[in-house]
Amino acid sequence: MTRSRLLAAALAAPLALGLLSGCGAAAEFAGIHQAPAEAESGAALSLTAANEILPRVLAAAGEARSNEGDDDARKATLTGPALREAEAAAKAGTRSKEVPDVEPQVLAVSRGTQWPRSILATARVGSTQHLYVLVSSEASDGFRVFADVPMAAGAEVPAVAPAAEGAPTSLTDEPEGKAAEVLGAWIKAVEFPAPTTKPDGISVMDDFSQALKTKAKTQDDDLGDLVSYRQQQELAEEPAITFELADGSTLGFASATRTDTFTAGSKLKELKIEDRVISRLVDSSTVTKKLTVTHAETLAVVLPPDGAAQVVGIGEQVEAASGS
Amino acid sequence: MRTILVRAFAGLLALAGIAALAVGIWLVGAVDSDGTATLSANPDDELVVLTPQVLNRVDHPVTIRATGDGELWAGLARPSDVESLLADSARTEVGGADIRDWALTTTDRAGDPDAATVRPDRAEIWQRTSSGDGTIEVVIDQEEAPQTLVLSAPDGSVSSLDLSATDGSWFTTALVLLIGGAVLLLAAIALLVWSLRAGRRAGRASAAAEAGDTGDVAGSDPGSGAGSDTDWDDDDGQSTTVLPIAAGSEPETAAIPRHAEAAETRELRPAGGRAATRDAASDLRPADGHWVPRDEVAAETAYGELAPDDLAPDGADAEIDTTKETPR
Repeated sequence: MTRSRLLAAALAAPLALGLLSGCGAAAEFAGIHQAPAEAESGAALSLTAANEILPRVLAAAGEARSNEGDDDARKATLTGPALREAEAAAKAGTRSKEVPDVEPQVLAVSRGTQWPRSILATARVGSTQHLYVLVSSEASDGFRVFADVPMAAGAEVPAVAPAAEGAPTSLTDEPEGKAAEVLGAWIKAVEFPAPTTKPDGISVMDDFSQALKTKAKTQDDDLGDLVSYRQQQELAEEPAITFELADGSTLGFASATRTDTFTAGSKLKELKIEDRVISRLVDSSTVTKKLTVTHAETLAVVLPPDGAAQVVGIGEQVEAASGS
Repeated sequence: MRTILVRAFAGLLALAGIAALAVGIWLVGAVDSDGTATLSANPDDELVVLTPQVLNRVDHPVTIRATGDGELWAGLARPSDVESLLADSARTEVGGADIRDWALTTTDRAGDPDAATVRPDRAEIWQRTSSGDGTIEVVIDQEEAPQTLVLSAPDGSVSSLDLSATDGSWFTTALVLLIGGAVLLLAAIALLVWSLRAGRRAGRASAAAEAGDTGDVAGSDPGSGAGSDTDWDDDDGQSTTVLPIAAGSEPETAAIPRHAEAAETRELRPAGGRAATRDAASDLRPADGHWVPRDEVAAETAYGELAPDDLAPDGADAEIDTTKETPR
């Protein structure tokens, strides 16, 4: 290679490198860059999207619940405990739950890009504040109402994480972990007759638990010696969900079954069933020996990091009744 | 060495100029005066997916305009959500751009024939949706980037796509490249021409010096360009001769008036010896080895070149006293 060729090569090499790097620099100069990477954390969906989805899904679910015969519509808009309640209501012929009369408010959305995804929301229906949970089980599956729980008077739910961050959620096929343990304790605590030993880890001093116990006691007092009254509950093997709250608390939703049993005493001639829904299910307005009524319940419970858990809401619907 | 460096530098300038000019011309042709660039594609599919690699490469809003048959639907979502939704669905994916042709690059992705048909408009993954009859326009503001755009035509197909992005600096950049490239190219050409001329002169000087060193003057002829350049000035009747200097000196030239040269030659004329410098007189040494007086040579040369009949004054005889009009 002659000296001139060597010189030309020595000059051409940096030029070529310069041109190549210049292309990247030109792109950068023009403001063209790589697309940003997708964040794996953060809310599963934007607050805007959640606010668009929420009223539409609640309205569709409300319409499906009002149409007793449309089983497909119920399954298309409801799932989990809410579907159980709706099907029970359809069977019992009770009036459907009302849709919110004010714009529902998104409290939290689940975190991460995976499915299932969920939305926690609240709205006022009449004079009662409701908690709503919407769940989407997979990408091609739209959101459906998972839980619709009226809040107990005076109940409070601690603050949730900002919607943009998303809240860690856990959707299981049946109640699990601490939530199941606490709910099991609460169920025992509100049984009637009351248990001899007070279950640990749950408070029943809230208005709702007290009202439930008082109602059972009143019922029993009214029936006197003629009828033996017993109220029992158990957690249902239905899907349950928990949301982690900002202060470390957990808000859990689970399904339970309450069974009221009326057993006639020896002095009872007949027990008249005043509740039209129950009499329709029993297909009789009176029983002489025994009446059993089951309710589909949806419980909302707050489990603080320290201290006793508290039920903050419960929805119930007569599911079945039998008598003899 | 200096010539090589100059030529190499000129080459670099030319390359840079051509590159800048080419990019500038291409950019001016592709970008509107307001800085809007548009890329197009003709997917002709009922399900079209535009990935972040075409939607989120700039910080400015990007506008997608799609046309097709029937009702068109568009939805924006996170890329992973769309992938989860359409994993097994056949679709046309727009995942890049061929900037040279200002075209969006499309890829046909075969779906699973056994998979259930997905209706994107029924999913709940969308950050924003819109629909239109035959035409739809979606503006991506980049605030929620990265995003994937899904276009569907349930009863027809999405026939064409235009993606536009506007950046006022693009057109300015194009003009700067265009003008800068032209300036660089012209500078390179000027440098190259100067270098070539200098090189030619250096070559001639080198050859002449070589000839002078060996005493071989055959073929050298005044005014022929081989040994010297002679420019005749008709205005004043003066002529100058560019004399190359002796070999080993810098290849520079000096213009010396002919009469001075001739006078000096006459003084330096050796008696059968070698001339100290190469000059016109030495080239005219006759075969018999005698030097011809310089003024006579000049007269003959001038007569031969300046005394054609058509140059003679009107009515004058063809005989011109050249010794008075031309340099001695």
